[in-house]
Amino acid sequence: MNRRKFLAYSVAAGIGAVLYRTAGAASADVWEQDFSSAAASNPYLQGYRGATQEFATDDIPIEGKIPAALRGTFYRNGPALHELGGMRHHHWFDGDGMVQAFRFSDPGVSHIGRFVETRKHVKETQAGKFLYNSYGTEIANSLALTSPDDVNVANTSVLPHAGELLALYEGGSAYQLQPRSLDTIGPKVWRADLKGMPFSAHPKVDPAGVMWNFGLNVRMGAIVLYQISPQGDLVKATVVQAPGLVNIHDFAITPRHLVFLVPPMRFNVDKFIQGRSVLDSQEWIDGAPMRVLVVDKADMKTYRFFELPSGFVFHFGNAWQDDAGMIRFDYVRLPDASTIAVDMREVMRGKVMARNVSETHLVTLNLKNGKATQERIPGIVEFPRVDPRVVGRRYRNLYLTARTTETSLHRGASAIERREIETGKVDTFDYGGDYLAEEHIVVAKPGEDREGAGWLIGTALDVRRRCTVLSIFDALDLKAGPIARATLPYALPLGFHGNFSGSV
Amino acid sequence: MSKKISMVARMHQLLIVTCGILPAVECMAADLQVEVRGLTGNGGQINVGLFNRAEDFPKTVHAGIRIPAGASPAIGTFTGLPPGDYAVVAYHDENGNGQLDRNPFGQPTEPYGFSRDARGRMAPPKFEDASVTLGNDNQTIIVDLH
Repeated sequence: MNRRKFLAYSVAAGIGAVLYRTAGAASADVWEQDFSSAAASNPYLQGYRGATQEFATDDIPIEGKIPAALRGTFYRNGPALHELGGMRHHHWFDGDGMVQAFRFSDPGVSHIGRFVETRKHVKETQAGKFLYNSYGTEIANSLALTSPDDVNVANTSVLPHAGELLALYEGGSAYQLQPRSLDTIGPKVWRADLKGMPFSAHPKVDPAGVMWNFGLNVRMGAIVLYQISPQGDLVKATVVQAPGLVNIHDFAITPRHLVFLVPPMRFNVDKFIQGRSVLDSQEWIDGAPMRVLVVDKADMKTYRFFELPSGFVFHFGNAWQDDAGMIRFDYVRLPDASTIAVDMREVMRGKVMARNVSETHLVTLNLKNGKATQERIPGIVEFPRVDPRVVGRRYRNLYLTARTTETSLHRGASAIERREIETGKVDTFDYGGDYLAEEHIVVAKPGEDREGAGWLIGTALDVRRRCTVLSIFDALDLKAGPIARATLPYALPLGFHGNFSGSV
Repeated sequence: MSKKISMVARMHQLLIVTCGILPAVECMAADLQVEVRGLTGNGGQINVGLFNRAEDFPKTVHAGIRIPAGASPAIGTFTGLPPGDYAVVAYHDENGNGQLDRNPFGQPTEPYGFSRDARGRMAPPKFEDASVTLGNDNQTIIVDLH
C-alpha cells in the first residue's frame, strides 16, 4: 500500500508516529460514546481505545543497561483497531491486529508497530466502515461470511519460525509478515489442499524446534493437527473429529502427546446461520465436565478423553510426562465463560466487570485408569509462559501476570510472578497500581541450557504517564526489579501474546 | 451435392429467421453470456456451470462450459436457452483436475463465484439469491471470482 512510503523510521526528536487514517464518525455508535465517557474518568481504559496510527521509534530511552547477549526482536500482537466509521467493536477480541517489534541491537532498542493487512482490514479501512460481523460483534447488513479468513484479524499472537514471521488468529490462516519491516505478505499456505484451514494462535515449539499446532472448526466439531519441521515445512496434517469440540484456544505438548481442554459448551449452528456472531452462537452447558482431550503424536489420530470438574480456560503453561507415565500440566482455570462472553464485551463500552477468578491448576492424568485430578493454586493470574528450553518437558518455573490489589477500575494485573511449581515458592515483581502488566516471556541466554538462564521481558502500560514500558528482568530473580527498562513515547493498545526471535 | 440439414437445424434456422423478421413473434431461446472476472493468471481453466433448478443447485449442472484461463475477464456463452431462472457458478480450476478443490473443512481452495455475487453463510447461497430471469432477450451476467 502506498502509505508505507510515508512511514518515517527516524525522526529527529526520536519520536515517530505516522498518521495513516483519521477516524471519521458519520454517526457515532452508542458504544463509542459510552466508552469515551467512561474513559474520561478511568485512565485504565486507555488501553482499550485502540490505535488509528502506526508507530515507530528509532532509539527508545533506556534506564539501566540492556544485556550485551540480549540481541534479537521481541514481537507482540494484539487487537488495535477498535473503531471505524463511527462504530466501535463490541468485543476486545475483534480489533484488527497490530504487531509490535522491539528490536534489541548494539545501538539500543527500537520499535515499530504496524497493522496486519488482512483482507478484512484492507476492505474495511478502504470502505471506511466495518463490513463483516466479527467474532463478538454483529453489525447491520453484514456481508456474508463465506470463509473463516473473511473475519481473520490476525490479532492474537505472532511467532517467528524458520526465518518467517506469522501473525496468528485462531479463526483463520496464519498471516505471513516480513520479519524486519512487518509488511504483510499474505495468508500462509502450508500445503495447497490445506489453504484456508484454521491455525491457532498457540503453536508449541519443542526444544528441538518442531512446531505443533491445531485449528478448530467449530461447526464440524473437528480439529486439524499440524506438525511442522524446524525448517518450516509441513511434515504431517491430520483431522480429528470428536464429540463436542468447541472453544479450544490453546493446548500443550509432551514428547508423545497433544493435550487439549474442552470447556462444556456447544455451538448452535442455527443461531450462526441466522446471523449471530460466533461468540453468541456458543452456549454454556451447566453441570457438564470440562474434558481433557489427549491425542497421540505418533499417528496424530488416536485420542482419548479425561474429565475434570466444570470450568473454562484460555491458557496452558506447559505439560510433561513423568517417569510413572502420568501426564502433568498446568492451566489457568476460570469458573465459566463469562469473561469471554460478558467482560471482554462490556469493557468495549467502558464498563469494568468484577474480575473473574482465574487461577493456576495443576492437573495429573493417569493414563492407566483414565482418571484426571487437579490441584488449585490460589491467586488471580493469567498469561502463563515457560522457558522455551523446557516446552513439553519437566519444568520448574511458571511465569504469569498476577493481580495483587483489588480495584473496580480495571480487571488487569499490575504484577508478574515466577512460581516454582515443585516448591510453591513465588518470586514477584509489582509494577505498582499505575500499571497494567502484559504477558512476559522468557528469552534464553544464547549458549546456556539451564532453565531460567536468561531474561524475562514484557510490556506494561503506565496509565498515569500514558506510555508503554518494556522491561527486562533476570528470569530467575524478578523481585530484584528490571535490569533495564525502555519507555516508549506513546501508549500502545493492550495486546495479547508474543515471542522472541534471536535474529535481528 | 445435396445439403442435408437436420430437423433441429431447420427449426433453429426457422427460429432465427422468424425472430429476426417478425419481432412480435415470441422466441423460444436466448443466450446467456457469462463474464468471469478476477482471474489471477495461474493457468488452468475456468469452469462455468449453469443451473436451472433449485434442487440441483449447486451440485448438478444443467450445462457446463470450459474456458482456458487467460486474460480477465473470461467469457463464455450458453446458447439457445428457454425462458426461465438460471444461476451460474464459475471457478478457476487451477490444477485442471475438473473439480472445485476443497480443504478438509470443506472450504474451496480455488477461486470461485456465483452469479449476482451471491454468498451463503459458510455454505453455498440459495438458488433464488443467485438466479437471474432469462426472457427472450440475450443477457450478459458477471461472475466475480473470490
